[in-house]
Amino acid sequence: MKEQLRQNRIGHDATVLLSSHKMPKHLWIIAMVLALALLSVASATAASLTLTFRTDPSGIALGGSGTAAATINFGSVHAYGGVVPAGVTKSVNGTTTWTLSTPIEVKVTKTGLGTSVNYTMTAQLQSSGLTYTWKLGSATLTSAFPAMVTAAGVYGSKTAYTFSLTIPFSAAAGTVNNTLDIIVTAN
Amino acid sequence: MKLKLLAGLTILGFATLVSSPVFAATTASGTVAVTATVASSVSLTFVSDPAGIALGGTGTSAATIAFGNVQAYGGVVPANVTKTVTGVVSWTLSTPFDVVVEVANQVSPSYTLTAQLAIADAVDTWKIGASTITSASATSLTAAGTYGTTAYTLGLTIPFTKAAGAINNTINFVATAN
Repeated sequence: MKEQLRQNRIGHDATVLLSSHKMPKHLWIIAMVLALALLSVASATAASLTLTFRTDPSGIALGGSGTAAATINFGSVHAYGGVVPAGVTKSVNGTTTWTLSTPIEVKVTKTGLGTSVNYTMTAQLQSSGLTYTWKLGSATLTSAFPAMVTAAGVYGSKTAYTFSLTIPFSAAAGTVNNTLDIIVTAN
Repeated sequence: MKLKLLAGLTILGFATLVSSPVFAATTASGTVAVTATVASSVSLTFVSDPAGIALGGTGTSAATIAFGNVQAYGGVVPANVTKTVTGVVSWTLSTPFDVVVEVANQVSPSYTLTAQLAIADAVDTWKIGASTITSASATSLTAAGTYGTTAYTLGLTIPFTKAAGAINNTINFVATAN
């Protein structure tokens, strides 16, 4: 058989048989590009991050602990007196504001991202909450843009971030609702 | 025609390669929904007045005043306590103390403040400012108090006819936002 075949192994899985005589040069290029594209799609499919929220031992009991859609319900709260939920700290700042804070655990795991050493995490409010001050860790959250919570989160570890809600004395009594959109990105 | 097909395939390949997730950031997202029901509240605390006796539990809502061992004639009068002997009928110990009332999460221009003795005392006379305090009912000290710090004077009048011994009572204060 005059036709000489060369076996070229690409990556781990793909084997391409190339004919050095009958196949024109431009077809080689096209074949390589298509093969790389297919490989990249195949390998990328396996790369993923998982984000879950868990109740911190020192924090309020999260609804949906262990999932990516948690809830925090402080219940009925007062600047003065009243009941502070377990795992929540209340601090009254003079006669201006008061703050509820509680730690929550965040766990991020990676799959197929061998070269990623850590992750960034951002948080953003779904609704504008200008009357109140919302914080996750040291980041002040708004609905305008995602705030950086960490630039180098550690994979696999349960990391506690303190969520805090500061309420002005001048705010009217009533229900406070908002949702934090949290995004983690592999570095 | 063949060349066009090849060119198309090449472009498709490049497009697939460049747009593949390998070149995009790998992300995950989650949500934390937060709910709180903010209720209005009023704070009432007692603080030692600069011109008054040192309160036990100053800065809290459960203060104490201990006059110690006192007598109509002679003896030691505690610092910042005034003793007044009224003829041969009674004598009075008086001292100012500060009442601090604050409001949160409510539009309130002022507050009412009442005081009431916890235990009936038919012998001694208890006063806050000009108001006599009894255990029978709450006495209004102000109907329109200004939020912040207000000094009130506690007066305890003891008849000469009263036997020597300890006097104990508690005054319950209630502040209500108007």
